[in-house]
Amino acid sequence: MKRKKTALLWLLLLLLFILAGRFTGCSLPLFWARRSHAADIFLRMIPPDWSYFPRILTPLWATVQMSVAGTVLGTFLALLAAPLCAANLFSPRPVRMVFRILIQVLRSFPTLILALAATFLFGLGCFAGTIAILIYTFAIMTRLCYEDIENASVRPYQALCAMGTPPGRAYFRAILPEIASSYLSNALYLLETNVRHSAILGYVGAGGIGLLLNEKISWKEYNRVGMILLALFLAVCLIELLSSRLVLLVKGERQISRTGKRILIGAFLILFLLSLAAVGKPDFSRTSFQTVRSMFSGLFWPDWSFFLQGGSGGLAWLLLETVCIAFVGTVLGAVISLPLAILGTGRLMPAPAALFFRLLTVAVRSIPFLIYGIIFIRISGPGAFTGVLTMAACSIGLLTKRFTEAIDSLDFRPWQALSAMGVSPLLRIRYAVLPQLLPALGSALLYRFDVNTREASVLGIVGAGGIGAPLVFAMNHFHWRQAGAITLGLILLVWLVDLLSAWIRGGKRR
Amino acid sequence: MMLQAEHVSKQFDRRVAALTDVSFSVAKGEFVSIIGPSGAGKTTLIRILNGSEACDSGQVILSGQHLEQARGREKTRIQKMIGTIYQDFALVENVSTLQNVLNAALPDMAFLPGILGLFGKARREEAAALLGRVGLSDKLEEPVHSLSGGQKQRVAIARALMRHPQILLADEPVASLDPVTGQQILELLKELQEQDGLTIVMNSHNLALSQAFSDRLLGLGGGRILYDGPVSGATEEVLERIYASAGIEMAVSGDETAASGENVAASGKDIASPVEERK
Ligand SMILES: Nc1ncnc2c1ncn2[C@@H]1O[C@H](COP(=O)(O)OP(=O)(O)OP(=O)(O)O)[C@@H](O)[C@H]1O
Ligand SMILES: [Mg+2]
Repeated sequence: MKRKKTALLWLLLLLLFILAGRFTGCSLPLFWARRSHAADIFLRMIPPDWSYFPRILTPLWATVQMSVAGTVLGTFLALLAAPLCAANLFSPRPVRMVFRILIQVLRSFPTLILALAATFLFGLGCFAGTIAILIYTFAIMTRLCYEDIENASVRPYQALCAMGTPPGRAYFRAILPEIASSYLSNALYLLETNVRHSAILGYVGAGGIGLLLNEKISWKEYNRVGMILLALFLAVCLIELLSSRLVLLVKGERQISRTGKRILIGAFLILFLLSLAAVGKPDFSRTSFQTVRSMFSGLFWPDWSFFLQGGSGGLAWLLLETVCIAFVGTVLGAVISLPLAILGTGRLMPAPAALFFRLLTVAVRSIPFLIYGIIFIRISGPGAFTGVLTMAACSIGLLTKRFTEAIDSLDFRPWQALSAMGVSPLLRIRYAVLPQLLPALGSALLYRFDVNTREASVLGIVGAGGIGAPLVFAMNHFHWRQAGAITLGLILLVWLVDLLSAWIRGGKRR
Repeated sequence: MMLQAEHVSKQFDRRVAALTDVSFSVAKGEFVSIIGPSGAGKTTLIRILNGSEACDSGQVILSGQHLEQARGREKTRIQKMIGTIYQDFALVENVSTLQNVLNAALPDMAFLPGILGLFGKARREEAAALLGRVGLSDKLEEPVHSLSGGQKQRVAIARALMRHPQILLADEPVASLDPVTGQQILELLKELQEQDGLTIVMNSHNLALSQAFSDRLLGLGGGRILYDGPVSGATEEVLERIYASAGIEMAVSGDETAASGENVAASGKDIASPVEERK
């Protein structure tokens, strides 16, 4: 009975995948026929223009500053907002609802769209970028944080409250220590994500290295693009190294002395202050009251006729296309990630090979989506297929990471037990390895699908299908009511996907 | 002879001599208990006897066939007649107990039904019946990670029995069970030995149970056989030698488990395996 159900579920998923693939115009033959174009641009980036390196440093530093400042502020605010969203603390139901809706709404937008909106309010430059990163971080961190709080034990908190401690202080004393390690490791992971994201914010004029990248790409100076990418790769490597060390510390898997801790905190504070200094002031000179007003009125009074418009090109159709892009892209990304993860685990591969594949994964991850978009558009032209390919490429980083973790925590004892019974290797994989991996792979996929639905809207910038292009177009042309309608659609979509994944996760637990 | 070990030696990392020149044989239908302090090499011996680990030198002969030389299909064929109960259970944690027991049917199945999970009604019923015999009939669909240590151990026992082995290698099969259940499980094994002529080699820290159920005792200390004879011959003095000798040897090599050697002898109680702790 139960087995039939699972079999049916797999079939359904396969069917959905095929349908979504057709809907987004995926075509393997096309990809294969034009595959040479993929390497094309990459080859032209080699050798990178070394002399250009010094000129990159300043904007690269600005990018890092933006992301550090935004991430730190965002995570800090999340710490304050999270208890208001949590159901098991002091927050009364109406307050909780308002905050949760706010978080859900903010969560629906990728950094790039937030940055575009921020440039209308705060002018071009790093300030807008920082604000975008701040809001993005805030929304995601608050969400993760209040989920942690709701899973934490409230007994110590209640004990403190019963002694007459004010709830706010009890929260800091009793709940925070419990969620601290997960909170900090999430924050570090977000920092790394944000550095990569902020590298493209320049595309909408929100400062950082993205400005240069955009410029060099449109001037077709690929050697310089190559140099920028290399610098970015190094920066991401550095941050990844640093944060993986810190995560070990945070999770208590490694100890350092008190002074060591102080030095670490001090260094981090200095970095943060330096970052704040670079954010600069907002530039209100070109912000008109008129724009701001029509912007918000557009959000609250969207263009209903556009919202309800059916047929191809209508909002519903675009949203469907977005989901399909996210779905097919996630699955394709997983297909590439699984072998990468296996090749990158030190437990299964000789150390040098594992290191090579890990570096390769970081390299794949450090390239901004924009570059993928530009490469793939030469293969598959503007449209949803390009979006799918780009999404797949962007999913590889996170999925490989999660898969590697799952493989690293594999228990090999049942494998050995089956082997001692004389079970063949393929059957051993099926019965001793896959059952251990599948839950982790499933939840990674689900999580990435959720992220991809939100991120898919940036694909519009490179013309790769989905809801993004009309949204960016509407914003750039001050069609705020239309932008409002699209925004509303996007929020609903993200919310639906969220419900769906909560339902699936709940079902799995049952 | 069902099982013969001849001059089996095993070293880990060129330093730790886990087994040194171990020789013994077990007749068909015999119930042999291996006793010895923690770290004596009991688990290592079991792993060599079922082919999970290769010995450095010596021979392991099962029904006249050399396991230590066998490779590939040949090895698999010999391994198919062994059932093993592991000290650390070695179960797939997030899969149901029933599926874990069914996994033991895989070696006898063709590839295609195996990969598709078509075990058939007869096998399913048998697995369920075995789980019933070890007292888990209400936990068939439960994932293993939700079970208690003793329940896991019983799943591991059911899995080993599902093999219909000619020889059962049991590494501390009742260590995580309460005295009553432990007694019942051993009675079950004894019954299988007497009715089906099952050969049993059991590691045990529980002297009383070993003496009550087995036909012969094998004393292992510091990787050497220190006693091989009837249960009645294992006098106080012999036991002291088994448990103490390894203690001394270990003390020389600076092993921390040394001190506990005598405790075990005195109380006959189970203590955690160093192997398990390391994992
Ligand atoms: N995989 C391994 N690598 C290195 N050393 C090992 C390994 N397995 C066992 N040893 C060592 O071999 C010795 C014998 O270990 P073994 O597990 O066989 O003891 P045991 O008699 O089963 O102990 P216990 O009663 O605690 O289960 C120990 O000193 C142990 O540290
Ligand atoms: Mg042992």
